[in-house]
Formats: sequence, C-alpha cells, structure tokens
Amino acid sequence: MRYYKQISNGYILAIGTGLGFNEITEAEYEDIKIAIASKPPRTETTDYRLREDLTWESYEVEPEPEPDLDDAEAWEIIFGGGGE
Amino acid sequence: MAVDKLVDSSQLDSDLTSVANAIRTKGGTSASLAFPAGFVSAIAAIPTGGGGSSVESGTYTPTVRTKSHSITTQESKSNFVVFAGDGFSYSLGSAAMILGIYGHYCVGTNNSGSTVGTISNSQGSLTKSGNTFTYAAGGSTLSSTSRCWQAGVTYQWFAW
Repeated sequence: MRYYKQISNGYILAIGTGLGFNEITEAEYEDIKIAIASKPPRTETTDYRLREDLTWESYEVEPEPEPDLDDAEAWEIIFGGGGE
Repeated sequence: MAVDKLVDSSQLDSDLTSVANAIRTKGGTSASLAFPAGFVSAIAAIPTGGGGSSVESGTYTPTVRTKSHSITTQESKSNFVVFAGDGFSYSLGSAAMILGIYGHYCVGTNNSGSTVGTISNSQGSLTKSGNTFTYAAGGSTLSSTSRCWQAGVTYQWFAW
C-alpha cells in the first residue's frame, strides 16, 4: 500500500493512501494520524494547522460569511418553520 | 502420422466446434480457432481470475476543513464512491460531505452536524475528468454550510 502526505508551505494538509503527493512510510503515516487525532478543538475565531514537525499552530480564522442557501433551504426557512 | 482409429468426421467436427465455441465465449472473442494451435493460444489468452474490471481504493484524511479535493485513479474508472469513515461524528459541527456516489448523489450533514440530507448541486458535487474524481463543496467561500471534506475524518474511496 502506498502512503502519502500532502504538504503546502510547511504544513501538512492531509494524509492518505493511493496515488499522488509525497510518498511516506507506513510508520510516518501512523505518526501523523496520531497527531491529527490530537488536534485542538476549533473555535469561532481560532483554528489549528499541522506543522511538518507534527505540532499544531493556531491561527485566526476569518469570520464565516453568510451561509450559502440553495432554493430549497431558503424555501424551508421562509415557509417550513425554521429550516436547519 | 499413425492411422489407427476410425472416427465419425461429422461428429468430430461438431464436437470440436462445441469446444471452440466454449473457448470463444470464455475468452470474449469471435475469432476462428484452428485445432489444436488456435485452441491452445485462445485458452492461454483467457485472463486469470475470470477477467473483469479491477477495483482501486484509497483513503484521504484532511487536517483542516477542505472545500475541494481530487482523487486520481491509476486506470480509467466509470464508478466511484467515497464515504466518511474513522473519525466521523455528528457532533463535529459545520457541514460536511459524508457520502458521494459518482453519477448519482452526495449526502452530507448540515452546519449543526445533526441532519443528513442529499447535497444539491449548489451545495456540492462529485465530478469526473479523465482518471480524476473531484468532490467540491458549493458556494464561493468555505462557509459553515459548505458540505466540505471534514478535518480529521478518514474518507474511504473505491473506484471500479
């Protein structure tokens, strides 16, 4: 099985199995998987990204814009008693 | 050449034709097969394991909520399914794609993580270009209702 990690600007964006990105060993894959499981919880203003040394770095998140509603969701909110 | 047996030539032709037809059916060919060399070659050419398409599979675990991700298969595939596996929880919060079946539909949670519903095209879509399947959440920004790839979840995919 081929293991990989997806890197961008010194941060690990993802891991996986299959084609593409930077191939890694199974041991490294398992180490990153453990690090992912220990990610601190995201808040409204702070999220965390994973450095290549497997430590988490906090960063400020942009306030989330108004939700993108499709016609069905908008209809439900207007006529359906509250939507989601 | 030894001439030591008498045979019914019509019956022999019929029997050889039956065997040839069976070889052609199994081998997926309509070619004329000369006995015995053609028979031998055609049987040798039949794929082991009964032939048929192979299944490719893999996983993808994003470390951050990801709006769009593509998966490329080794060979061209017509079918693709991806679903959220290890790490998925309804209490994650923020909308997420949890099941995608190419050519059919995608299913996801809402921004409270408590409702599962079919993802409309404006909320997200699973598309194919060449050997690459892409799921992308809808909208121009990564909002709380974008049915994205959820962080920390190991997505499992199969293509055939």
